[in-house]
Amino acid sequence: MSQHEVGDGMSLDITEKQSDESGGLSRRSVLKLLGVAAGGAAIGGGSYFKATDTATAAKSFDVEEISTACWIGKQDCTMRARVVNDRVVHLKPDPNDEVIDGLCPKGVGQIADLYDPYRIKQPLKRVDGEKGEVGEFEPISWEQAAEEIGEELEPMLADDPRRVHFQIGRVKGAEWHMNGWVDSLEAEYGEGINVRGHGNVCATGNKMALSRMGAGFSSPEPDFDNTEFFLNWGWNATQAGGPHLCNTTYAREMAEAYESGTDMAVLDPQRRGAGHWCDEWLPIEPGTDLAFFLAFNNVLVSEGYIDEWFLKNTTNAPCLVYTEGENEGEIARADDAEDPVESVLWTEGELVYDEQSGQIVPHEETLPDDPHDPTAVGTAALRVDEPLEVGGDRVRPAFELFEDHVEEYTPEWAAEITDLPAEQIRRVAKKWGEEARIGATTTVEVDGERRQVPYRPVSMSLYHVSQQELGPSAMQAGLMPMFLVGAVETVGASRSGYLNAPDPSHREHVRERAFNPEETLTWQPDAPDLEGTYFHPDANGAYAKVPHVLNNPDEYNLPHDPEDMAVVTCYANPLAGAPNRERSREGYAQYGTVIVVDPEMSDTAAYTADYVLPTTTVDKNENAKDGMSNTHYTSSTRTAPIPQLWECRDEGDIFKELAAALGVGDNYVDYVNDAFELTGGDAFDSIAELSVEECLDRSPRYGEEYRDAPQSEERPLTHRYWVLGPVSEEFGDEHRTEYSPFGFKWQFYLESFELLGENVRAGFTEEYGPDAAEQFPYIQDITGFAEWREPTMWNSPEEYDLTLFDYKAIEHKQSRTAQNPLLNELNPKNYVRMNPRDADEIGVSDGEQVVVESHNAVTDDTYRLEGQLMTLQGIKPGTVAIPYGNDTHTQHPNVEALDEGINPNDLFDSTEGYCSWAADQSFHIRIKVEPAGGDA
Amino acid sequence: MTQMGMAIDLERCQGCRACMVACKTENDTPRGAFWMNVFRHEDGEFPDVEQGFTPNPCHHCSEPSCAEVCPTDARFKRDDDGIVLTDYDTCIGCRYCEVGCPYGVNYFQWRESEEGQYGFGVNDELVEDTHQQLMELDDDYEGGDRPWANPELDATQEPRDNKLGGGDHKVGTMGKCTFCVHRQDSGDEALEGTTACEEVCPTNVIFFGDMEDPESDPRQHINEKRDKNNWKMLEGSGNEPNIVYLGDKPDDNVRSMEDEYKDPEEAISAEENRSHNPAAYLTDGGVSE
Repeated sequence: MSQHEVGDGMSLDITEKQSDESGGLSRRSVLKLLGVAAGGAAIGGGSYFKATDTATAAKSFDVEEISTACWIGKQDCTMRARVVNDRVVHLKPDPNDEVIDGLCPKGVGQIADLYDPYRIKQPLKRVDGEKGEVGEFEPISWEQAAEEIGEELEPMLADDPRRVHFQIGRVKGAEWHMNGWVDSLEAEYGEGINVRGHGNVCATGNKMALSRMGAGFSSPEPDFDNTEFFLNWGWNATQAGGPHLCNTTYAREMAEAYESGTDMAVLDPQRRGAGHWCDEWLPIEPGTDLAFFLAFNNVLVSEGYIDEWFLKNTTNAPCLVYTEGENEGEIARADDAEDPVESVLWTEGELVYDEQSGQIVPHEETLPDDPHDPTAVGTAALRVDEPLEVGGDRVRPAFELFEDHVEEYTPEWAAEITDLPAEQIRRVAKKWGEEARIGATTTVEVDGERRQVPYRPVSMSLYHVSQQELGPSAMQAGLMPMFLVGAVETVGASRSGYLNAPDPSHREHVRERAFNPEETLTWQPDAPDLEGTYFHPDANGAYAKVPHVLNNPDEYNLPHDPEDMAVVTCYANPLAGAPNRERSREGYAQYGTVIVVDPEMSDTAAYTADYVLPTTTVDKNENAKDGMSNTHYTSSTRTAPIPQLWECRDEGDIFKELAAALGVGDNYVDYVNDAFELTGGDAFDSIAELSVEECLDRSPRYGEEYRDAPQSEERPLTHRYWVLGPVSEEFGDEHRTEYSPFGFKWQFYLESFELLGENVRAGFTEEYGPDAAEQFPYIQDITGFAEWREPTMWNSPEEYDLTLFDYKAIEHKQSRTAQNPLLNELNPKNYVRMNPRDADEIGVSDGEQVVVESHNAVTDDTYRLEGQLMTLQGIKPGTVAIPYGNDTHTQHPNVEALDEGINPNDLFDSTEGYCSWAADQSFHIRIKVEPAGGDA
Repeated sequence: MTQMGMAIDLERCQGCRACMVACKTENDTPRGAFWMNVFRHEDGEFPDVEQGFTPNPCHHCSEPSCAEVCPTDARFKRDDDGIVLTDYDTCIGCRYCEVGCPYGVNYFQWRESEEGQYGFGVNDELVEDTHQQLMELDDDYEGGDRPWANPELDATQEPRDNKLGGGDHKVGTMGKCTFCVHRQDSGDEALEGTTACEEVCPTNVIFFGDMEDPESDPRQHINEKRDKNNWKMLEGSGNEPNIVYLGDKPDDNVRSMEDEYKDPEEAISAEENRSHNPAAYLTDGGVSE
């Protein structure tokens, strides 16, 4: 066994895999067999058919199976490419991967992307066509491309690094670009390059809440092995992936759980995503999830489903909050308390009311002698009858405030908003409370010793559904059911995501902006994502909002005009991948320089690029991301199964040249050596020597001996449940396991949001006047407890009487599949999907052409799209669903010829009113549907 | 007596159709031919709606009506393992098997193989470019075909000593699921007993094996889930199919959904007329590394 570091200090013990491959066979050493072949050869060389008679000439083929990984999806599902005479003839799942048992249709279908005749084959330079119009391109050499790009970007970087932006869609091999290239430049030119991911069109809405209520930028993941009741919150399980992995893993886990008796309730306006795994369907009105969970919490509290151990011992629920005075909203702290800005995981000295002594004391003094004992409930009060004061101002326990807060949010109240029967909401909430088995414990064995831990077999998960206007608040309310019954980070419950130990980093900057706004909040953004400003005090790339900002640079105080700025987009297609397409085209056309790294002519490339740099598809070498399911780790390397086609290059081989052209080649080489742990003779001396393939070969983690198969290892229980923190080697000194087994305090009351919200609203009032919320509705949503308000889209005129939402179809993935003829064959068209009840009212029927018009309630803009109707009983009346994934490369000949559209990103919008306070894109908008007129 | 068949576990199926794509790229079937097909269906009325998915390969019946009606004996059932196959050399394309089969699994080859190959058979500068690239990689590649065409499918199988596997057979003949007979007869232990559809399924729906052998994968799985419904499609037909479904049988009112694949003729015609900006896609003579 050998020990290897697998990022973030986790260690992965590599066991020798039983391999049926003959030793020493690499991609390069193909054996040619001549003459009549015998059957029965092992993988790695030989022929596979019986000897034929003389009527057919005997043929021999070189056959290999190369271990590689899917380049499309999130998970990097490992695959074997069957290669016959240096041509890939089939892609299949790698049998050695313990996380997946198969592939999705995109995995096996991407063989068509390898040989796509319309791949970009060498660098292109725009020679004609105005920005915002389809460009005319001419091929140039890599040398010329690097030189000219260097000449464009160097003066910008030298002037102000903030003039250069790096935007990424598909985050793989970040060492080569997002981290490595950017770091190398900043080391030379100074910090400030705006690095933008795709988070805001993905799932950051829930991460914004969970990373502060919990401690880690992640999303909940169910403990499928042990959960008895699972609430599927908008999780399109049969068609999409989830928090960390793809459909291939989660669908299997879910199917297995369902098979073993787990009950499943599904909260989703559409039935389609749950497939077979649904015992109860809650067809909720899109955008009202916040109301649902507020009512859910109302039921749990009023029915008494309260886990006192969890709340009193491990959260700030008993902490006293000022309800008046200049510290209103803050937690009362002792004079010698730790600074909440510095000590973010557990702040010592927060005050509670001790039921035993009748005194106000620091929380720590009310904890049991053994805080790790899941049956030892502390003595801090969740409710106090008498009025309390600290420093002359009234204080009350946070839990009490919460009880008051949810009192009005009854199921009857929520029924009006969500269109779910009150009885159903009440019943499901009670089931949650009941099945949680508050107080139950179980034992797990760690290092030969048995430890007693809470057993709470109820779980939930969500992912992209949080991308709605009220997303972060919905998650704040949605986490409460987990907190109220103590069902988090323990057996049967939900993990809080893909981290092995609590991570303070995402709490830190929000606390700074909550407690020290003068020093940390500004009206002057560094970049069009507005992160860290009053506009969006937190944001993760603001993928869809950026174009709106670029179109209005003065309104948002951008430090430079867009025409003086440059963007490098790496596998991102903002012109099609996110709404609104019109705004995106206009916005990106403002940039002075656009460089697109992509294997295909995306819309972003066609309409706005100055340079298009072709990267590889299946013929790619890359370090695949380390994977982690509930139960296993896997690590894999993406190996090109055939030599790279045309002039296409791996990303690292592109960015190294750009680094060299900008004078930071040495920095880049140093970064890569460090990132891939190359020392001594293995380390590269220069850019000229460096290549992705060579680097992976030399790297201890991705080296040749590990290329043959994925490396899988079972995850220890201490990694799976934070409640085992005290015996986990993943926990360090910063984790306060002396107070809580979780090593930190869960924020039941999100103090930092309450204070941040006050700061933001005060700032807006000063800058925009008392009606600021009319233009920026989301500033109302930054609060300590999630509060209901009506979504802005409901302000659209009544004629827009339906709500549009979108979802992912299994055959398509963002901007990576529309050009694939195999996937197109199965799913050539995105239908306008609605319930027959609505269709009847409108006077249209299944199969007919309809026109969909959407309305932006803030700007009054409207958008129209024509599509074909599909009626289904499995969709809530009053809603329309259109999947996305088609029509993303309108200039690609395959898409032009075969793709029947439509793209709902033509109908959604991305201004205020359609984003959350954290710039999360809302994939909801009000629409009307009419017959198209003319023949169907 | 060996009779190859499958247990298909509908409780696990998510209708992703990965099996359809795997079958297609394994067997090199042309546009419009779905030797493995997956129904997606819905029944009930809002809000009491069920949705489900049903994979439908050839059922390799014990009393195959397709073989019974075949006038030339091109469609036959193999004795030693019960797989039902088509001898493309003997088939005259009368399509009686298509009419005679109750399961709708037969596909007539309407066009020359190259024409149905996802745009790669088109006489187009950029496609030529791709073929040239492939010829540089593979001396045996003749071009004019789909790049993932697998020459291993040219192998012949017993008892006819003809090519019985593969979907790239000649125009005017019939094709259908062969239970990946080219794998069964490969002589490669790693491939025998496997099918592309079973191999690719991420949720472990398909269990392929000998239905007569109680120790086989399908028989064991049926036994493990013996408390669930199991059923066969259209048992009244008398075909004695060898696909066993586990899980509830969709009721008679079930409605098909998401069943419109791309029309092959429309697609082929569109591919022939693809327009492009050549400068953006051509190489300027650069040769692959």
